[in-house]
Amino acid sequence: MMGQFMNFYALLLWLLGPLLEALILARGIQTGWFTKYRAFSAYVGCVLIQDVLFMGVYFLRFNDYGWIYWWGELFSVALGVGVTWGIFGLILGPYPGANRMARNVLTVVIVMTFSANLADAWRGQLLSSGTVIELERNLRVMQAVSLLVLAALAAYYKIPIGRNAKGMFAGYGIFIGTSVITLTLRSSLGESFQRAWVSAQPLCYILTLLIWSAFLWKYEPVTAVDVRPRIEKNYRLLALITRKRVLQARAFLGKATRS
Amino acid sequence: MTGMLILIALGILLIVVLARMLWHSEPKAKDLPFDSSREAIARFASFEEADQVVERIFGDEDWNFLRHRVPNQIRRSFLKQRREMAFCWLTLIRIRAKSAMHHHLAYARSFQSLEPMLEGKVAINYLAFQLSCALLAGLLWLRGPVALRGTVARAYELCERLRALTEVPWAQRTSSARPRS
Repeated sequence: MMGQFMNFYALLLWLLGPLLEALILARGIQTGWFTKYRAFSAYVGCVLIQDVLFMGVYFLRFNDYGWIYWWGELFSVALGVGVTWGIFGLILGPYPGANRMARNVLTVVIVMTFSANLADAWRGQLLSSGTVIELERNLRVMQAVSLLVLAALAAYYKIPIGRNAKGMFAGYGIFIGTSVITLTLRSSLGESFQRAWVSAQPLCYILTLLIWSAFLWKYEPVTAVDVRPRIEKNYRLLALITRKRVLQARAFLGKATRS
Repeated sequence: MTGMLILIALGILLIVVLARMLWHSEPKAKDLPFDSSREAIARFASFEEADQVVERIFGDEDWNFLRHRVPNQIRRSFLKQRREMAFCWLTLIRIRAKSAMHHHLAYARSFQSLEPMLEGKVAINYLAFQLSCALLAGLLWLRGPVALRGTVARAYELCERLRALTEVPWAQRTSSARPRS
């Protein structure tokens, strides 16, 4: 009975996914954001096609489902990199300075992550566990770090994100965060986590789709509050003046304690 | 095991940050102090005027005059008011530095020629300032403005003594190592 319930629950989640994806795309076409957010639209479209294909393979050619599923997962991870790139462009695009900062911070983070992985490989830890799950987890970790950098910079520079981009960013980020957690537990605990993983993974994805549905129901473009610098070469001057002011304020704190 | 925990923590951090962002409202135009640089400079010019205020709030002249002449209740009231004034002054300094930083960020984010290293230095300076403010606020809360100078002076004196103690053996060692003429 319990098994039948779980199967029904899993099937319900599985059917709900393509339905919500279709709804999001339909709203995109209806409200006009479909052509504005190309990377995101392409991602949702591809995932919808993939889900329908998976269903067909599952019910018609179950023996091939395993390998098709994992190839599909790797394909969706590659698409996800495109979405991450698209979200970066959408949020930081109107702000070249913040964009430049993000590129530099990301380069440092990626170099550090690769160095750590290389060190692991040197010690023989990476090569011993080169499974598809771990490959997917590592790629999701890279995306998670990139999205954290984006969130930090958007908060630091007080960048207005807009309702649509916020929904895309938060929905996709929450999906990546839950994927990192479930994939880590799946690769560390192995088969014992498989049953929970089968239920948790689609549930997290449905949550993401619900966030997207709510935040992309209407087309609300970013309301950029932009202050274009008049003289481009004055950045150095601006930075030096700010540093001077902050140091001046700090010196005042010192005056308060000096005898 | 440590690697697993780090990755799980990373996932949780991302979820928490984005969930928080999802429920928080957008920064509005009025929240961003895009004041002109001239206005900002004018605000900072008043720092020098505040110099005497600092001397008065944190100085012990008034306290030394009062402490043997007035009853206990008045002394307590004096110290309480001084503490409140010190906190007001600290808030003012914080607002001014924050305003300068907001002004910087509002422009810097749009500069094509932004220099990440310089930007990092600005961020570190601001972080150091915020930490100093927190430390000073903590000391003010614990000791009050009048006792604060005494505390810092004593700490400074202790540091000097320690330095002198470490310098003597070093000086002796260098003088003994010097070739005799």
